[in-house]
Amino acid sequence: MITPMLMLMTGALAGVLDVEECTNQGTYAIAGGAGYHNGLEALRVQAATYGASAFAERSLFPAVRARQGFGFVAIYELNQAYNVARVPTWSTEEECPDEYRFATRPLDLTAANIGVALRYARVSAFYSAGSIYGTAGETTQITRVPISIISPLVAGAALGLSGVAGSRHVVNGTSAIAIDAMGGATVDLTIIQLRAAWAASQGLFLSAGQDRVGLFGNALVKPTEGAGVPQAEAGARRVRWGDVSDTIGRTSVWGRKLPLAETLSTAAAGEPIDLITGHFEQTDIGRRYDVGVTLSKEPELGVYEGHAAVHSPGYYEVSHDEAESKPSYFLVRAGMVRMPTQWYYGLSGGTYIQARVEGSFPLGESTDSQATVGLLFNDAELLALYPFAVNALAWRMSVRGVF
Amino acid sequence: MILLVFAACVTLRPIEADVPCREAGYAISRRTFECTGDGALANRRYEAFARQYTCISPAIEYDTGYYANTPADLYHCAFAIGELACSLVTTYGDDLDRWLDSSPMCALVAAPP
Repeated sequence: MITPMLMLMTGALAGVLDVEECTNQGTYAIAGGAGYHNGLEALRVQAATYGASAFAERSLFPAVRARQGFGFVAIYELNQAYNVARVPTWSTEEECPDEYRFATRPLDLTAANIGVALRYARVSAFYSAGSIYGTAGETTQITRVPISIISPLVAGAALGLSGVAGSRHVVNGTSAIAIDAMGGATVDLTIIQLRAAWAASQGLFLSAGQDRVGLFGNALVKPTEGAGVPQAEAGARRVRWGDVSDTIGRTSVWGRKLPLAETLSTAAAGEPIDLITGHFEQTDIGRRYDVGVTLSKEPELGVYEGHAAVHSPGYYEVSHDEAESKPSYFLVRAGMVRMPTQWYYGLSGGTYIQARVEGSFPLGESTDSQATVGLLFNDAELLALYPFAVNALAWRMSVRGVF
Repeated sequence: MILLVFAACVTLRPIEADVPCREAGYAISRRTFECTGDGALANRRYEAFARQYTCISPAIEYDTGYYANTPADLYHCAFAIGELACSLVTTYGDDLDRWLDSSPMCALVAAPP
């Protein structure tokens, strides 16, 4: 038993010593292929814009809504995804073994979001930013570890700069960083909440929601000629069915339009492509179970994903009742996601397993501050933005403070 | 022990010799998709390419570094196709020969019927 293990380790270490000669300095990404294009596609401003607005809708606005009176909310979220794309590279290092001189390298992606809001009575001012940082090039799993530590710092620093730098997309080979930020205000009129913000990528973000039925809608409107509405979402979220809601759960039905691709080369400008989806979710069935299905209308009609989940009671509730101590929560979700044939991404398509495990727990003795960690595989949200990220593993961490 | 072995794993994956040819097909599909937004048409064009052309696997000159038949040269076919203006995409339509005239390197990676 020990001998095969030693042989395996020796072989692996010999491989590491060989590829160490294929240094990043002497390696060039090869433009033209689907992997290269997908690598660049992963790092785009529109994804950062969606990241900032979706993050605000998902995390910031509910926390602000629940914080009555005067208060401050701050949330930081980090998503790290591995193998989002594979980039073809060519090493000119003579010591690099021939079989690795013409090889693909993994592209790892770090997406970070920050949101802060200051609430006074029924009005609040908020700021939300998203950054995406990605790089390809590490030759071994062990050398990817420092990148996994550095990337969040780079993405975090970019968030700090986003307020003054605005919307940016900087590319160097297949390493790139994209940032976008939005600042605005919310008004809580009890029956309806209105939000408006200006995104640095020159877009007006409008959002509205109401609690009684659960209706909501939001859109990013670009006033520049021909830009239109790159992203929009509308429907009903977590609709209650009276006293039987504890048994049958709460229903969410909504539609969404997202930019699926962004043309990067102005010399080869093409038409924008959208991902239009319809979502149905029944959550909190028996206060513990969820089911959901997503249909896609464009670019192809069909079932996009289906899932089932089990979680702690109260997993979706956001409250700041200081008399009530928030317990720890968990969620385990599994399902299938169907990726259509997309030769334009170099993908033959197929049905894949998706899974998500999440846990959240209170930070310190505060009842309002909470941390969440999660592990995601083939997550439908990730694949919606990056359809080529099939079999990508990601982890997520978020910290929320309410003061 | 398993973690140690995993940590030592190489992340590089050698590219198979016929990949620059398939990339040319992907580029036709991608440019069609970008310019028309028609995913079905884009997929049909790749499938027509795969059906009508035979992939050639040219020997790669590892010693030359910057000269002929390096992988970057072989990818020029896909690169040139990916840079076509949308007006040309419309003009070329389903005539794949015209798409593959975009770069002289296309003749090195894909043989016509």
